[in-house]
Amino acid sequence: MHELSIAIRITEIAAEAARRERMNRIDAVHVEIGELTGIVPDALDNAFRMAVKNTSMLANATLHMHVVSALAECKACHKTFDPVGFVTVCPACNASECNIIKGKELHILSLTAGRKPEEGFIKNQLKNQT
Amino acid sequence: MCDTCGCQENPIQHGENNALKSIDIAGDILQRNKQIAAGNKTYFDQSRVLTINLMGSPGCGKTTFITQTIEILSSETGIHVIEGDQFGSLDADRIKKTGVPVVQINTGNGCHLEAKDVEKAAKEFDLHPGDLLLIENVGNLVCPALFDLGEHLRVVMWSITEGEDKPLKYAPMFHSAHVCLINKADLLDHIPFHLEQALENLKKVNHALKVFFVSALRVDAGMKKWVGFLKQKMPV
Repeated sequence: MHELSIAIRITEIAAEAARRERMNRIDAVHVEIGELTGIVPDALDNAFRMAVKNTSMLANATLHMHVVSALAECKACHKTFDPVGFVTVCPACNASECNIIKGKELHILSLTAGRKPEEGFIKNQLKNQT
Repeated sequence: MCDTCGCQENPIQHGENNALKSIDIAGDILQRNKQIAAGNKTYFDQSRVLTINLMGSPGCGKTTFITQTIEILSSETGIHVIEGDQFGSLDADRIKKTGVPVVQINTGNGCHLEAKDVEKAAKEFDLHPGDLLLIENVGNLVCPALFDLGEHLRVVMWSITEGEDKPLKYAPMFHSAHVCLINKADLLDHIPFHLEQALENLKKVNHALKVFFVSALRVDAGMKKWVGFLKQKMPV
């Protein structure tokens, strides 16, 4: 369920960024999700679809997720390895003191935005031409 | 004439897609929560109030553990409690009976507390230097792992009736904690719980965890050790 609060926050950040660029329509949002964050990509995608419903800017936006594989480094022998399921025991020397180097990312990378005509804009343009 | 905005451009050349722009953000999705949590932490530091974020499954004994901690410690330390639940005030009602100030937060469809919830609730307490603030998070071993509240200690409670495999099944929670309370330890003689395996599982995901065995229903040696540990952590 925490995917919904993450999805809502993504829509808020995206909308703020688009407004700063004077854009009012977001077509795509690219995010980076680390394997160790506990975020389930399918659940985040569903939550994103719920979060964008009834928004003026993101109603047709799609979420593009880039999953970052986990990587840990042993503090003792410096071997890097995949800490599957957060198990941070070094496969080389069996030490359990390791640093997580990758896998905790939860970033919004970029978005694709555009401008849609404001309500009444086309009517006004036509009126001005006649 | 363009169908999009009414200009004189050819509509094929001036479709909406021509105005698309890629905007780089490179921002942390949890940044706002982290900022509020940092503000909470500063507030608790300046107030000299030790703050505990207590997490664990529904039914593992968190509220009983809090009432027992209050029972042991409230005569010498001011204690305040924030209760997080989806609905209702059952836990806050239990805390109220101890005479300790409590704020109930209902998260509705939310499955965890966020820093903004704690920021708002903490303002309702009359905090004094040397006080203790206990935050009982929503019963859940998944979602609260991701959200910093500005606490000094992240404490995960795990009861032996849940089995010894929990740290491996819910690794982000156990990895993110500073302290693990293994509760319902008085049932060890009655439940097939492999203690050595449980500790081995904990070490696999977080070698630095401080572990306490407690039976929150009574003032046992484990509860006394926990309270002694809390006293050591109190700001001087």
